[in-house]
Amino acid sequence: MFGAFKPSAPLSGGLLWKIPWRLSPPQKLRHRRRMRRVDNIVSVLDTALKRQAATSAAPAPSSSALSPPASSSSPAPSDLSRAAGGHQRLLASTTPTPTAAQNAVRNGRDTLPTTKRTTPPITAALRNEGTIKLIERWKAEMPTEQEMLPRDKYSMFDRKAKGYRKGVHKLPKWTRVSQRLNPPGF
Amino acid sequence: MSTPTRFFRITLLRSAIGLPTRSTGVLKALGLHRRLRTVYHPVTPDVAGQVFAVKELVDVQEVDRALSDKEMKELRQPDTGFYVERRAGAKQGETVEEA
Repeated sequence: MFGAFKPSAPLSGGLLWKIPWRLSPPQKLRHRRRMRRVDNIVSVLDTALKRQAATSAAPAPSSSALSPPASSSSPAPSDLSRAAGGHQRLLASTTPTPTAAQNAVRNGRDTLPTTKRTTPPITAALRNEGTIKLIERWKAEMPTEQEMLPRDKYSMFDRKAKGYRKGVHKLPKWTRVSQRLNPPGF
Repeated sequence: MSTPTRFFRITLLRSAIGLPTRSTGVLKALGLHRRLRTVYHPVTPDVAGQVFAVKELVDVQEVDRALSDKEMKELRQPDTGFYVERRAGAKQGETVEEA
C-alpha cells in the first residue's frame, strides 16, 4: 500500500507519465552545469588539437609560447584545465568575445533575418592550426552557457505549444543532447 | 615520431542507452563499453571528432602519458593500512626484503 511500489496512477495505469510544466531550480542548476561541461569539453578538444598541431610543426620553441603565462593571483592553468568549466575561464581572455549582433542572431532577436548563420569554411590555414570542421562549426553557431538567455536555456521552440515554447525538459533525452538553438524570431 | 604525443583521457560518464545507434557505435569504437571506463587515445583530429560526437556522455582531459590498465588499477587501490614487519617463521631481527 505504501512505499516505493504503492499503486499510483503511473504505476498501475499505463499511459500516464506526467512531466511537470516547469523545471525546478536544482534541475536548472544541473542543466547549467551539464551545458558548461559540454562547453568545457569542446574547448579541451580545441586547445589539445591546436597544441598538437603547433608542437608537431615546430617542436620545442612554440610549445612554451603557446602555453599561457601563469599569473600568481589566478589559479594555475593546470588546475583550471581539470576543473569543470575551467577551460572556459582559461580561454576567456584569449578568445574574442562575440559581438552583440552575433548574440542577437543566436538568441533569435535580430531584426534582420537576412543575416544567415554561416559556418566559416575550413581553410588551409585553419587545417594547419589543427582544428576540425565540427569544432569550428560548433564555436561559430552554438552559444556558450554564459552567452545564452535564460529563456533559451530552459525552454525551447515547439510549434504546437501555446506561445510556441515548452520547457527544455520535455525534450526526450534532454540531459544527453545539446539543444541550444531556436528558430529566429521564436 | 620525435615530438611527444599527447593523449586524450576519455571517461564515459553517461550511458548511451536509448540514444541513436550512432552514438553507441562511436562509444564502442572508442573502447568505452561501460560507465566510468577510462581509455586513452592520442590527440588526433580523428579521435577529436569521435569524442565530439559523444561529448554529452564523456569527460575528456588532455594528458601527457597514457596509463595502462594495470597502472590505473593500482591508482584505484586503497592503502592497505599495514605493513609486514616479519614473515611467519622468520627469525627475530630478520627484515623483510622490499619487493
